[in-house]
Amino acid sequence: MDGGAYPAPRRPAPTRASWRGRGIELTVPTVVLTVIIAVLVLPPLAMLVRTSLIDYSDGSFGLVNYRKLFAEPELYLTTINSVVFAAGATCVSLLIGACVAWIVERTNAPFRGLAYVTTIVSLGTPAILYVCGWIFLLGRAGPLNSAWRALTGSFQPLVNVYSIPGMILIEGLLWVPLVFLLCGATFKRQNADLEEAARMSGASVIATVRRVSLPLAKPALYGLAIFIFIRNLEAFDVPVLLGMPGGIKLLTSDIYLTMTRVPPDLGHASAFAVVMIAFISVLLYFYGRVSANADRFASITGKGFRPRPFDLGRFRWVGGLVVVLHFTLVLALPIIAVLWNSITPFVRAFSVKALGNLTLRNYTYVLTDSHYLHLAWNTVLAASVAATVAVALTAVAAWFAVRRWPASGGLTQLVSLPIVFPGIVLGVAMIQIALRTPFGLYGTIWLIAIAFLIRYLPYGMRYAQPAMMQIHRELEEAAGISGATQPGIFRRVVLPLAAPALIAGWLFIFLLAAKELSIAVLLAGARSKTIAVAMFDQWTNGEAGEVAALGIIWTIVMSCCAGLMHYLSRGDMKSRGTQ
Amino acid sequence: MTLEVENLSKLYWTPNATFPGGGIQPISFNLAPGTFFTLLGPSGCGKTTTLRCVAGLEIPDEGRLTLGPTVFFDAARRTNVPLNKRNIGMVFQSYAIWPHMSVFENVAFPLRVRRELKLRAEEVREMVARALATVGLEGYADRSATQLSGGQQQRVALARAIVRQPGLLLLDEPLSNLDALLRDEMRNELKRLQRQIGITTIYVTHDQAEALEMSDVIAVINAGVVEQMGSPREIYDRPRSAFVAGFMGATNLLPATARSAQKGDSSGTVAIDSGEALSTWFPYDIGAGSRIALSIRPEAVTVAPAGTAAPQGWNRLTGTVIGSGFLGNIVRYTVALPHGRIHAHQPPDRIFAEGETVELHFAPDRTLGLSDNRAAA
Repeated sequence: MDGGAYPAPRRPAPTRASWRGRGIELTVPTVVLTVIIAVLVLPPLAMLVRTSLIDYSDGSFGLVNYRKLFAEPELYLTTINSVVFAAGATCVSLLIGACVAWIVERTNAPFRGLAYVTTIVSLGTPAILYVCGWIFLLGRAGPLNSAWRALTGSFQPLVNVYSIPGMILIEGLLWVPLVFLLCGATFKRQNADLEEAARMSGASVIATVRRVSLPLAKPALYGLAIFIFIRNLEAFDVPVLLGMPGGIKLLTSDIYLTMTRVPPDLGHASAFAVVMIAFISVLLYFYGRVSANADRFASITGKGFRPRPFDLGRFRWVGGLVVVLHFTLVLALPIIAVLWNSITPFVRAFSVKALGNLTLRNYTYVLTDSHYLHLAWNTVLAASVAATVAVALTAVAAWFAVRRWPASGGLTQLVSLPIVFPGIVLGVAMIQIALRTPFGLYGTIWLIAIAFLIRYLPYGMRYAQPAMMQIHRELEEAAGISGATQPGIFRRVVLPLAAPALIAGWLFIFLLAAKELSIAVLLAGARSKTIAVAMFDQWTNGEAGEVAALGIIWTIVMSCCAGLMHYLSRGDMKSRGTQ
Repeated sequence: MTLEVENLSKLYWTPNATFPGGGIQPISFNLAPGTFFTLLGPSGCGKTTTLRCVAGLEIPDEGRLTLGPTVFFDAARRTNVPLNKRNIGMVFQSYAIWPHMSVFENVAFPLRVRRELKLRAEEVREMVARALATVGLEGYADRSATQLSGGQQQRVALARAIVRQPGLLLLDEPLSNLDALLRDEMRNELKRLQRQIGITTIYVTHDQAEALEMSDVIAVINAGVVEQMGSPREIYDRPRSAFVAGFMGATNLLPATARSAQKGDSSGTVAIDSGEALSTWFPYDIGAGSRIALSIRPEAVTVAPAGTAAPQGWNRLTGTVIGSGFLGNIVRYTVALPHGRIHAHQPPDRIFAEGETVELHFAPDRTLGLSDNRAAA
């Protein structure tokens, strides 16, 4: 009996049916979900492109805005500024973040826990608060410059924080926590066997790192560098708070300026935004290629895999020192500066004399004023609505995509689309959409919530997709055989197993949204301000003390959320869903 | 209930392929109630595909599938009962125990998700307790599923599969993730349980020893085609082809060409490719000029010092010992022939040195002439 005894096999018509059901039963839910996500994601892009093509002098369509934009020499200057700024900040954060991550994940240096504390608290701190802290520390009257003047008698400050190097330093420090987390994940997964093999062959620790560990981590590090570069290009807080007073224009602050001058130039801002989206899309393309390559190098093994740390021997204290330095720079110094500001009645430098009249007035004011309560409520409402809807949509979308439901092919790309919007650009787009909606969306907190939702959909997907992939196929098949329907399988098996990752994703989105400034600053009306926007307004009005008190309170609350998220993400890594 | 499988086929096509990348050619079998049926074959042969088609996890291209009065699948009439309506119990290779549920909840799941059963809480409790007792896990109900050992998880999976008294039990290599000792124990346990419940069972494995010990009927599958179906003894003693003989335990296969046609259950003399003529027993018809292989089990070969006379009518070959391995109850010798080599199992008291010239004697009725369709044999 051999295969030839049967007629040549006939290729059956392709079928969309699977054990999950007939084709139509599977296609309808995917199509419905695709439409919902498309309705969220596509209008901002369409609106921007449309507006950028309108000539506001006569209302006709054309390329006037682009022609004007490209004719201005300033565009090129801002672009160069932005690229230099983003590249410099990326180097700073990558250098510090990667070093600390390696020391913490792969060596036996002391104080490793401190790096996690730093990172967790940083995740909960609004960027604007850091920037304020650093401005206080490095500003003209700050402790560093006054000490320099006192020592040298010179009238010139040592550092000018309102310059590109100053901005690079502060922006770079802002991204260190994220680099630390992502790099740490990469180092943690590295197979220690490969390094031990190098050590056994006679290589020193440094040679092992240089010849084995670094080349292995390279694709992941390149990917991370592009990712951080994009985030720095989109940065808003530092360009506005430091660049604008210093007269240094960047792409994002320029869009903000065109939108806030009277009357706002929508056409110009939209053309600007479209150019920026195009730029970022190109970068994202390279990011995608690099990340795809990174998988090739992944040295992850299956079960029971524990990387063994390097023994630094006599140099353990050097590692410990780096961790402590990281803690000081990234967390302690700016927070102490803010804390100082929050308990002095007016902005003044550190001095023993000032210790005499410390006050908690700012705290009592912030805690008793119902205006602040309203702000907190707004922020929590917008952030939690956005996080909840984003996680719900991406959980289902990730399930459809990972299990390859029919017609789910484009779902992942569609959900990931908003990653091309810088926050300020999405703000510009949402204003235009809100102005055209018949019901009064403009100026409400719901507009901000929807904008947050759109912006953070891709982040939700990044949590949901790996969670779904980790669930063994047979766990779902067993539920099906046991008699469960598809919604039943999702509710009783998939959802509980993915829950830790989904909750961590929820908290991550909530934290980001709660401190997001660039979208909210354009969309907030008088009644719909969020904490970050209020802090921005107060800072520009010179009420540094209240900003500081508000910031400290907010940081404490958010750090608790961040700690919870970190705890859940860790638990998820030892996932129970994989067998 | 009787399971009838008629011309079931399922082929996997990779994009742009002109030839299927795997699957099963039309396969048919009927299982009487209570049969323990084993699909045996190397990995990728289509045995799991067959099982998944019966379960409803794959949709066959062609064929018909009925269990008792219910038509599960009929390609001609375009009927397909979804898997959650088939009332089948299945144990997966990974056990697929839901880690977020207790043992009780795992086993109760099939009862809870079928609303139409309308079971009261105490009925559920009772049925779960009975299922757990059957697999010997009384008192484990409140354990978390993740605290169990591999063997216990296996039992939970089994309890979950039988809890609502399904019409059919499917086992997908359930023992492959257990260590050797536990595997032997669970083999007997599974067989005992299957007898006790009296449920028709389809068992998928690549382990011939498991198949031989447990099954009523074995189907040996190779490259999507059933090579032979029959009782364990029949398959071991009268393999239909060289593939089946080679797959069912160790054997020596000497390639040859049949000069003349042979009737089944007859003897004849065949010249193997290296020239020696051997008396051979043919269990099945062989066409003239077709490629065959002579299958001689290692335990059927007697190794003797050079010059020893062979028993009357026995085959004899001469060779050199090139390797020996002491396995405790037997010694495994490798003997080099002018062309090829032969393995022989001898009692431990028969000692030959490496390099020694020996004679190999074996009976004609244990020299089986089998059709040989192995690709590069």
